[in-house]
Amino acid sequence: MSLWRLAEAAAWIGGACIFGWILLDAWRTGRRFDEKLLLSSREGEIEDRIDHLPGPKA
Amino acid sequence: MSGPASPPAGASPTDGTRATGGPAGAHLSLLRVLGPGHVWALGVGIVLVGEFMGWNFSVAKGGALGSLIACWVIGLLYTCVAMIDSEVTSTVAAAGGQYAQSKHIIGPLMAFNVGLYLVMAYTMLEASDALVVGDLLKTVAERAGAPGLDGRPFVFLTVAVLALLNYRGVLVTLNVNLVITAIACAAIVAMFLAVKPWSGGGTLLHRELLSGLPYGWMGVIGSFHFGIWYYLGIEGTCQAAEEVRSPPRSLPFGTMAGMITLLIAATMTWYVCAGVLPWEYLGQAVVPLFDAASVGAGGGLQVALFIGTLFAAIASANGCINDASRAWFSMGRDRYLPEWFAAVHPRYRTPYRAILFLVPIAIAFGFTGLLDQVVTFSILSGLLGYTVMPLNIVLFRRKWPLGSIKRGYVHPWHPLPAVTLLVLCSVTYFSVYLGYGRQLLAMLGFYVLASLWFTFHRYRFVRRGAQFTMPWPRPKGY
Repeated sequence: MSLWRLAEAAAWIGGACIFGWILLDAWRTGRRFDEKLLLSSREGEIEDRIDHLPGPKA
Repeated sequence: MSGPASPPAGASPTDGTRATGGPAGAHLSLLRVLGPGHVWALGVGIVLVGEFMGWNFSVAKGGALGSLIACWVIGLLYTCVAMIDSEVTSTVAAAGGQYAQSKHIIGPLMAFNVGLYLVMAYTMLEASDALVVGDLLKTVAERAGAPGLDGRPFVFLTVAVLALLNYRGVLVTLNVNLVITAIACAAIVAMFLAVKPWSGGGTLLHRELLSGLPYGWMGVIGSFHFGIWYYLGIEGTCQAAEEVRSPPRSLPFGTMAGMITLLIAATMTWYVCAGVLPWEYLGQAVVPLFDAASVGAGGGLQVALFIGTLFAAIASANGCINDASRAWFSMGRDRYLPEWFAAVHPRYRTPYRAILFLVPIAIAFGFTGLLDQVVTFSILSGLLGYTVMPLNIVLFRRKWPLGSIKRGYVHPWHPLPAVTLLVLCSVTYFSVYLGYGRQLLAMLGFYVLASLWFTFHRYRFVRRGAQFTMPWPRPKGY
């Protein structure tokens, strides 16, 4: 088997392992943490970041 | 590079039980860790692959001079995009970028469509980039005497590795993008210097190779379609809005610096390639800069250009995973899509379900091998998004005039950039219609169907009041 064919096989196996790890971690995270906490993010708070800029307060 | 973030207090299960919401107020959010350099790397990283390949198809449509006109006219289109985006996003600093802008300024149906344009544009571009990596490795294998290499495993591996990077943190993702994008930029500069443009002769043969406009002005308009490759994706900087430390400063600075970089890189690329390769060849070359290096420079530079092409494709796919997932995540958070997609990883603080969900879609499109079709889908989705921007900025200025809310950046000459953008988008639609009319109509049909699904099914789930998060006064006239 040539080096390139080995590289092909290694790419399949490597990709599958990585994707499998992501899937496993996502599944474990879903089981370990409460769904409410996982979904608790809020949209970007910006006003505190531009308070130093001149102009009227919103 | 930073390690993973700690979950907030109350979020870590220590006794083997499921962690609850923790103490009152405990919540997860994306991390604000990025600076202007990362914004630059995100925008330029997504686009730069277009300088290494793809832009040159505009030469086939309009000749070398037509391609230069397309480079600068489409550059003007994207400069307007960057100016408008910088103003609105420096104020609406939320993940989802243009989706969040449309949601606040226009309305839910438009926001849904814009969100979908973004996800499709970036996912298709990611698939194309992975395809390019596979094709490059096939080419190397062929030259090394091993023809018939299957590109699919490399498409799969590329997407999987980059998805892992994105899954584990935004800082490491964009630090990697910063490094490989800088290397790819350096390869273009090295190529430009290698042909010695100041020497006036030698390798560069512009006088002999430039042949006017072979297909007239209609050819020039036709070349606008592929002129988009020079800059497609620079608007992706907005997707970092919720993760930059200082949105009002970093977003306009990173976006404008990115646009300047691209204008210079695009012009340098055209200058070198048009001076070395005849337009008939350049118009159908797969890797024009690499070919130009083969003709006009030594072996060392060929290797540099190969690495530059590979890195540019990887940086682009990396940035696309980041951007598509942010848009998908923010639509889930507002329940424009199932809320399940709005989960943030407690350890890595990334929208991990959105990242994971889009990976198989990108791989599936990558496996088709239809690079031109996939890229055209991406270009058309991007173009639809740009068309909304003039309406966005006009309504933004009308509903919240200057002085009524704080803006991180105010773009000059309003409404000239909006009008210019609308006119140039219209001309570019015509250009796309000339070459890919069926795809344009099919894609419009897809978005109409998606809009019907949203209006008659999904809209009832949307958090109608809670989706508006900006602490702005009531719009003028309401």
